[in-house]
Amino acid sequence: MAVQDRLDDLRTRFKGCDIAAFGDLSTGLVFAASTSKKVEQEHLDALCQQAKEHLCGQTAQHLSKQLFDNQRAPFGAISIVRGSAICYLKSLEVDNEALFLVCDLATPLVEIMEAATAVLTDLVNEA
Amino acid sequence: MSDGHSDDERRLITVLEQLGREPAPCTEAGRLIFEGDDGGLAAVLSQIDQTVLPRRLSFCDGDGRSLICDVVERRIMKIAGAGNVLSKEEAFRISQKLERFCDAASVIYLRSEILSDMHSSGDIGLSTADLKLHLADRRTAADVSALIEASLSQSESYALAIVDHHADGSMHQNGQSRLCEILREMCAPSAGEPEADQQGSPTHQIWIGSPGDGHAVLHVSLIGRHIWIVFEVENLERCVETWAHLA
Repeated sequence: MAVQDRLDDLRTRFKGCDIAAFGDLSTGLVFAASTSKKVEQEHLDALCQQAKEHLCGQTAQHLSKQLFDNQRAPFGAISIVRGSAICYLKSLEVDNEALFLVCDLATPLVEIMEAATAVLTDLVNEA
Repeated sequence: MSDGHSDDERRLITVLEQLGREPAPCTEAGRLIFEGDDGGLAAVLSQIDQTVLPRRLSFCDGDGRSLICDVVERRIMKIAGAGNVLSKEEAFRISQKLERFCDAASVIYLRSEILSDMHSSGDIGLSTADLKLHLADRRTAADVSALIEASLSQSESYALAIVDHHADGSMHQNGQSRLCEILREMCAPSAGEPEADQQGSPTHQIWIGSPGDGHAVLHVSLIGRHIWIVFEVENLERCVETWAHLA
């Protein structure tokens, strides 16, 4: 299945999900995105930059060393911003590849993070 | 005596305004009381506030989600899925439930049916005034502070560790000592941490360990205050529900 199809499938499976995007944390660029409304590329790339801050920043590094078992950057992060949850997921296989989701707070977050993990694993393995 | 409108005056003004309007269309889902992006919550609260005789009000969003309230004398006595007769202590939880339902709805329909066996004594149930204390558009600094304390209190039921750090250097901690120690180290100010935004709105950030790790960390950043909570990933939605109303 193509990257775009996988992202479309993931986003439409969850009613409250508006954006599902796949990008590279090292360059801060989004490769592909599925959105419920038109979203500018700059906005998507900004999402990627935020993901880098949240997943690789100072706090994330500290938590990885002190709390999380794997001694790597956290696998996931969520920002809650005015009624929306922005979820960032980092690949466990390839350090820089990540998936981003923007969804409303009624979305089952554990479920969507699990589904997104499966999609991210497939995308990385197929690359 | 205050020059402001009393609650009864406000209700009268609302009723008079409605008399001049076209009747709302009725559908299979009920009478349309709201359509659009903003104002669903006000429409629902208004219906509750106008209900004096015992009624079951069924609000439906047209997508199959519904909120069913038993109302008498302008007070919600019961809400489907929320157990027994409501009390003021539950105003926070119920206001969140109402907000979530209304925020996700672009249309709201109402069905009303008569209830014969419900009474109010005035000190049970929840009035719209009780709820408004907890709703976003009515918040004062004191309300926000009360909400934070309520959220902290709720978090104690699932948190493994909580550290609440104030700008004056005071710190409260609760839970496993090793985890509290890690969280205390996080309280040193650093450029990488998200801060409350310029309007003073709290920022919320959650970090999740890799699958199998099982831990997650919430950071709530307010002006002059940082709250850190470690919890198990399985409680993620509970944690978001507890804190999202502050975002």
